[in-house]
Amino acid sequence: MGEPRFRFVGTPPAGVPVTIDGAASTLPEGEVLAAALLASGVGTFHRSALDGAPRGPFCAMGSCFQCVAEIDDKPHQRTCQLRVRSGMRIVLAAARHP
Amino acid sequence: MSDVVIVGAGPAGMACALALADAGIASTLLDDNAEAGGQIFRTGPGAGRLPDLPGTDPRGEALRAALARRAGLISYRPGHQVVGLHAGPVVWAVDGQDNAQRFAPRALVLATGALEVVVPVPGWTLPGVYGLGGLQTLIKSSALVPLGPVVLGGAGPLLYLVAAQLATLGVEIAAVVDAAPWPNLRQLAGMARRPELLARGVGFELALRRRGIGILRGHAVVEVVGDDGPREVVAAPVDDTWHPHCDDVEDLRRFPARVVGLGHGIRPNVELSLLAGCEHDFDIQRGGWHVRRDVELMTTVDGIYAAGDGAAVGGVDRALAEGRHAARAICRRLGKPVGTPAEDFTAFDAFRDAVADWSGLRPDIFHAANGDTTICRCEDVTHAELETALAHGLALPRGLKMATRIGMGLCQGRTCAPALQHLTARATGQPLAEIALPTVRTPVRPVTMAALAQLPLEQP
Repeated sequence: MGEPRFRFVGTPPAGVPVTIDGAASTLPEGEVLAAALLASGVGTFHRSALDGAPRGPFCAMGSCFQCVAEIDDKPHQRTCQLRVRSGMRIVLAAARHP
Repeated sequence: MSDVVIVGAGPAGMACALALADAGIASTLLDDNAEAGGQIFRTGPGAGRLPDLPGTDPRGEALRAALARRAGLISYRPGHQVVGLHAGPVVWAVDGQDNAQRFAPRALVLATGALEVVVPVPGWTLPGVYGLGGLQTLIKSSALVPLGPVVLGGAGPLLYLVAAQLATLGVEIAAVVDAAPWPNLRQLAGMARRPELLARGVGFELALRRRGIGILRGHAVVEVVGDDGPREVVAAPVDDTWHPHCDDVEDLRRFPARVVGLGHGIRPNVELSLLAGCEHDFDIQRGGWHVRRDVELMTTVDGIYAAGDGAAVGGVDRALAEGRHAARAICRRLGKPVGTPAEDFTAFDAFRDAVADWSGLRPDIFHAANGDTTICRCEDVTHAELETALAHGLALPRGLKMATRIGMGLCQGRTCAPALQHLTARATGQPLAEIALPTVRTPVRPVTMAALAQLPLEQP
């Protein structure tokens, strides 16, 4: 995680426990997962298959699959179409392309 | 089971379902998103935290409320992706828990909406570069705003709408880079057929000027510079065909950027109508390739209708009218009395044509990509790899895919299709209208074997 490039307007919902790449973290419950990750400073959601270049959300509406991550052991999940739930296990593909 | 299945709960799909319900016809409304509204009426968990923004359309809330009131006749199913479609019509849909469902309605309405056209430039794959619509979606659904400086580039109404909304939210905008010049008198006259929309556009422009935000017309974003995200954006002047001129360093303009939004208008999402075997036509005014329809909005496949920007770019008001119009046609098909009045599309079309004339994509804008620029983001296909394959005589729909895997990744070519078509046209000298669209096959979305196994064996 780095410097966030986004911020929430107003106060987002209270945080719930999740894991990001195995580390305990909190994200606002019920928020769009991609938005919650962006606000927390995640920029690279996955790395491109061939050259490992960093990729992140692009269309934010479920079409482009650039925001995909592994969620609760399911690969290629569109974080822009998911909502934050307590206990969510989020693996950003950066972890799989060391 | 409902007589009618509608794919997409945006303006056209919601209007269609509600008009059918008024006539006593039950429908199933399938939508990929968690909330109804599509993109223009997009809402989400953070929407209630937003201040009043310029250009906000209150009709979305009214339509969502009507949808809830009509729950007896409208089976609204959020979080459903249509993964397959074949003659019958037969629809395969999968929800977020991998439950697959098969529908065989008497009428099917494709109201799948539009996709944003983004022109590839060096650095456009960096995290922190978004489609203009994507930036707006993050605002509308999650009240998530970029930390400035932001550079917005492209052409068309959305450029100014997003800029005005970001400015209202106090976001620092380093530049608005518009490939188009100021609209000419003929274009303004066409836009004046929808005076309220023209006035709104002028309002965006004035709001930006009042805040001292620089608008760079006749320029295009030609590079996003950064390592793991944007740091700087380079803009260059374009000529009448929007060919960027980057040779003279004196002409280049550089702006600091932490977040970048790019967009050159929208095009119909034709993947499901292609999958269904419908005929398509090419018309740049309607966003390029679009599905052929008769006066009843039925495609060339019996029982399959198409409505809204997913059928042909026409704007939200036309989409609402088309949804109602398709509902009336389906009433007649099912032998039900037709209640709602006829629609008049002429003012919508005059406005749409004027906007397209002003800001519609000019092919030479694609010269902004250099050899190393990624065209297909899913399969990492560069411009140089595409040109090599084209130089070997490979073509769409199959040859280029087999040689490069372009358009075969997770997004199935939805993001790179406009660039692929334009770059193919340029390399082969063929007119755009003669560049075949890539073949679409079931499943059009990634789907688990567990979900597919729930569906019956049938020949697509």
